[in-house]
Amino acid sequence: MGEKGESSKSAMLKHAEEEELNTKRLKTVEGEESNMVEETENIKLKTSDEIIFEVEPSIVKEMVTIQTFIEDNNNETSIPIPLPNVTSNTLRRILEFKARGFDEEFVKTLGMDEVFELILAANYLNMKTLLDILTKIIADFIKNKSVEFVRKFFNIVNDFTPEEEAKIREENAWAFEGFECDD
Amino acid sequence: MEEEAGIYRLAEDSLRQIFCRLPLREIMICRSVSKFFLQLLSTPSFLQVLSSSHPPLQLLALRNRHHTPSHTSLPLFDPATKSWLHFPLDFLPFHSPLPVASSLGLLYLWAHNNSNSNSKSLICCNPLTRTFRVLPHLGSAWSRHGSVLVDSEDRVMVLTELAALYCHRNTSTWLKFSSNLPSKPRSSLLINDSAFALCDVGSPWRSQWKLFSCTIKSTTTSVVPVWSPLDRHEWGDVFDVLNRPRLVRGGHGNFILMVGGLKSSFALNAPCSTILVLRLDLDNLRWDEAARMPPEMFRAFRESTKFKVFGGAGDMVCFSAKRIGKLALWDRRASEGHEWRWIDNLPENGKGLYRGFVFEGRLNAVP
Repeated sequence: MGEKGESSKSAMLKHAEEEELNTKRLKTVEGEESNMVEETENIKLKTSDEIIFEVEPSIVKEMVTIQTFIEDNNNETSIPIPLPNVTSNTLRRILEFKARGFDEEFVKTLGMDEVFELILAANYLNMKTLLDILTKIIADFIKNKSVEFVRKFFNIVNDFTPEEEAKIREENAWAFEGFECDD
Repeated sequence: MEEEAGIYRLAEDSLRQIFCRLPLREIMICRSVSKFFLQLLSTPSFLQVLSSSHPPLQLLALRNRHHTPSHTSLPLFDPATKSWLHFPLDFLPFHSPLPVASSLGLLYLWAHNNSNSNSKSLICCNPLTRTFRVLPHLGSAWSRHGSVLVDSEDRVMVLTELAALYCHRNTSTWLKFSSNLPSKPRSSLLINDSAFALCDVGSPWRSQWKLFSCTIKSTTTSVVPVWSPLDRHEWGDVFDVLNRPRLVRGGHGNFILMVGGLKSSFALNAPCSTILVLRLDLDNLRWDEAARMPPEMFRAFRESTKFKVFGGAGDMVCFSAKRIGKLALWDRRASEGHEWRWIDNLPENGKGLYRGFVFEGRLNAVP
């Protein structure tokens, strides 16, 4: 129990440290182009709702889709790169998540729809590390849970007839047998 | 209008990535969530991905005289969860299925063509995916007297003392050849394209075991396979140190395990001090010791004059003797110190002698 206290204290410290780092590293400019000139030139990304973000090249490197686009265009980075499939909210969350060192607890504070948006964006931007972490978090949520729980969790409607569902359970009896879920 | 669940908007690849992280059984269970999931979690390419990310289920097919398995479902024991899993066999249009062997996720069984006839077919199936294939026709004498040996790439041999049948992949007929063995083959195994067996070449008073092998180079009748003794001078008296040696397939790779009671002396009927598992590396033909049964376990076997041993894939060997009420299991891949354990969740308290084999449940095995 003491351990739990320690880890939340160190998490808070870590959080405070990172907030400080955030203000230095995370540069977002909303609604207008910036005149700031940094040593390593930031890359401009324009989200689907027309907001321009300036993102560090090291972060853009993780977005393989964008990185490939830049390299294919002779490293031309003066024009903002459009992200038609990513909203400003989502991009902001991704950058925040990254700045917090991919802290899983952060994801747990978000709603399920927002998490799905993150996955969609991570898939579109081809950010493997982010995708791996997000899919792991979701898998952890549904591990050892019943079919009913999975349906409720994802808001899925059961479109099987009782006979159809019984047939699937019967054919895969070996998987259903003795499965004790903890929900 | 009802809004579609958010999860359906995710790319199928992302969805599969989520479910791939679950244990195999939970993935199967999630097939019943909705029609979309049934489809998503059943595609051949998904099953292929699963098979590389998840180790196969290591299950034991057990049977004994007291416990006749049902004719419609196959009970397999999962030592990991100490529970029985039941695999329905109703997808087979045959009667009275009798499983006899397995290799790489495929189960081989004899079954009656219909309830009235005595004619049997040899069938290859995957009970997880409920698919099957009937092997080329063979006469009923083979089902009565033949041992079915199987290995990877659908190699099948049916062996008797006098003759053998062999087929490989999808050949439509069997290659038949005479066995030139000196006596009845025991513990025969098929590893790749070579068959192995122990024969007793001694006298009625004293057994003398010898290892024989036979390589099937081609399935055409022009090259007749021949059995010959497999021996090396440096092996010394490796076959004499064990009482009633039996062969068991040695996990993945080119190994044979030989199991028997370790005789305390070379005298006739010398008592055994433990049960020994030796391993033969077929690449360099060298023997070494793989394991020996711990004394506390052997105590239960000491009273029995004989025990049954079986195994198969994954370096698992099972030991059964009458009146013990449980099976001893040696699992080479278990964590250190836990290689030997008891299996005691058996029906009717494990009365009698069990025989069987190890079955690996694999979703990507295609009959």
